[in-house]
Amino acid sequence: MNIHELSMLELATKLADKSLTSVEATQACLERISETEPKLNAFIYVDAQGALEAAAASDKRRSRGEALGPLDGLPMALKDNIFVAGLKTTCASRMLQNFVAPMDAAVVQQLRQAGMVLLGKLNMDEMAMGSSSTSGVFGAVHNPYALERSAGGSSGGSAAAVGARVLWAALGSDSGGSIRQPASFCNVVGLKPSFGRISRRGVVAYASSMDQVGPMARKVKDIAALLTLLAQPDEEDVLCNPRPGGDYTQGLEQGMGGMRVGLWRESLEGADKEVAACIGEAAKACERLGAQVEELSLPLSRMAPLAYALISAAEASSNLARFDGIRYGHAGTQAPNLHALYFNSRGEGFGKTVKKKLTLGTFVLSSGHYEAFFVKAAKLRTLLCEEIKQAFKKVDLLLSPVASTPAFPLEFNPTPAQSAALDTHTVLANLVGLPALSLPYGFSAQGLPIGIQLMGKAFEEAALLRCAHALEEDKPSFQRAPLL
Amino acid sequence: MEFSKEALEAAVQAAVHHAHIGMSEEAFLACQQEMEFITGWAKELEALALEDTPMTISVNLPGTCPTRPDELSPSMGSKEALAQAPVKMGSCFVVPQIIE
Repeated sequence: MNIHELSMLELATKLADKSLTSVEATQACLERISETEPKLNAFIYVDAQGALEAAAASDKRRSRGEALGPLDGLPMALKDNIFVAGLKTTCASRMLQNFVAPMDAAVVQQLRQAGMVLLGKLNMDEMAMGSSSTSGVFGAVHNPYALERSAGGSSGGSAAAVGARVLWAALGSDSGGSIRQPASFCNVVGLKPSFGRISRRGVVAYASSMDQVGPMARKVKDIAALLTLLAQPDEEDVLCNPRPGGDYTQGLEQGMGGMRVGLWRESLEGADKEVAACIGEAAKACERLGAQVEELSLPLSRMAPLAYALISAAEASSNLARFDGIRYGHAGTQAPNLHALYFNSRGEGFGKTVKKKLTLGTFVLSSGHYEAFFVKAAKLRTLLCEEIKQAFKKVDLLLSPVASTPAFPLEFNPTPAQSAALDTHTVLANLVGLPALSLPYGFSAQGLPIGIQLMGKAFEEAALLRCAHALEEDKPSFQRAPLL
Repeated sequence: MEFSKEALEAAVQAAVHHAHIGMSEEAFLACQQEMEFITGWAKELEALALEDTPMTISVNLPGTCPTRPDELSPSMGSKEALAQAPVKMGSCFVVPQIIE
């Protein structure tokens, strides 16, 4: 048995029937990390000692018949913008290179309460801004299916580690596609839940009205199990839904008969031929599985990336103002006055991508430009919400590509227009707060993974997961492992 | 909103100043390119009838906003809260000199 080929829930079954121990699973992970890290660079920090101690404690609980739940003893890791008490949370930025989290994030508390073993922190784009996982201070993450290509971003480390069979599951965060696009590039399932479905307490803020934490794994069932654990109210995050999500593993087998699927027409404009072919194939599969498929036009969606660019920059400039070298973050050197200290701290602490975002955000919020840019973008967002609301009166689900192309080369240096186009299909779900999932659905002729995106109604993750599971079961051939 | 090259450069300079970000000439040019692209793209907003449209600042706010009882409860201890604070000298923090 190759332990790394098991899905997360298959491993959970082995732990439950004691054919494997948590220490064995954790050691297997650590060995796999040693093998793959020189090629992938998916981890920023590996807490081997802490993980082995937690695994041993889990095994003791199981031997006493006191397991904390079905996921007790399962190793997993987190994107490095999620607080783990006592460990550094760097956001892959020089600004936070020495910042030690004073507390656990809400999601980390939930993982610990379930007995899960935290292996370490995963690489990402700096401050979660980016679509390539190349902008962080710890270097680029490599795609396990083609090492010279991007793993996607910003949760590239999470996707690469799961895709490479290093981990069975990981957490990422998604403000404009940062779970779904790397999931698509690395052949894993990635879910951005509805805005407010999972607490964000203890997650470093980027674009507060869109940030969401979400799970990444190789099977939809694993995602459902993790969402069941994480979709809990949190009175310390006022934007977190006060109603628990329920058990998302129930009803997964009910199929997609009777579902109405909308094929998002504009999302296919400019899509690579092989990506478009995958979407066509998925649409046929939906019909074969009993769903009704109709093409649906969302004309305003073409402007969603513009609204996203303006709003995310504004929110980022506000959120990251706290990193000034005094309240938080790297303190600049040789400053003759306060202004120079701020300049040096932020100039030395942030990389090029973050600087561009913060400059734009400051510009769109500044007097004289606020009305023309930020206010109009926020009004466009209202129109987008209305367009989506009308669309979901006709359909239960929207089908689209995750990205227009498979993974691009690491050296790809996009123009501003190309950079904005990388998020074209994913930002809409963040702007309107809907759940969306990336499902592996094929490979290009070059062997690069291609994912499809399914978007559902607000807080109806159960239906989204049910359909994704039906499609996954219909076409299991895309579970091809990388040659790594 | 139209920007001449000079106006755009001045706008970027002002934004960099307000954002307190030191940057190289290369980084400044990258910011300028980004702003040129975004401000050009944003002209598309002018084609939309937005006058009577309200802004959306957040979505999916569930029913009522949860509140906590207004009462004292244990919080993080001062040692943990100050773990990231600057080095201490006596009863004061050592911070960079900022008074000229």
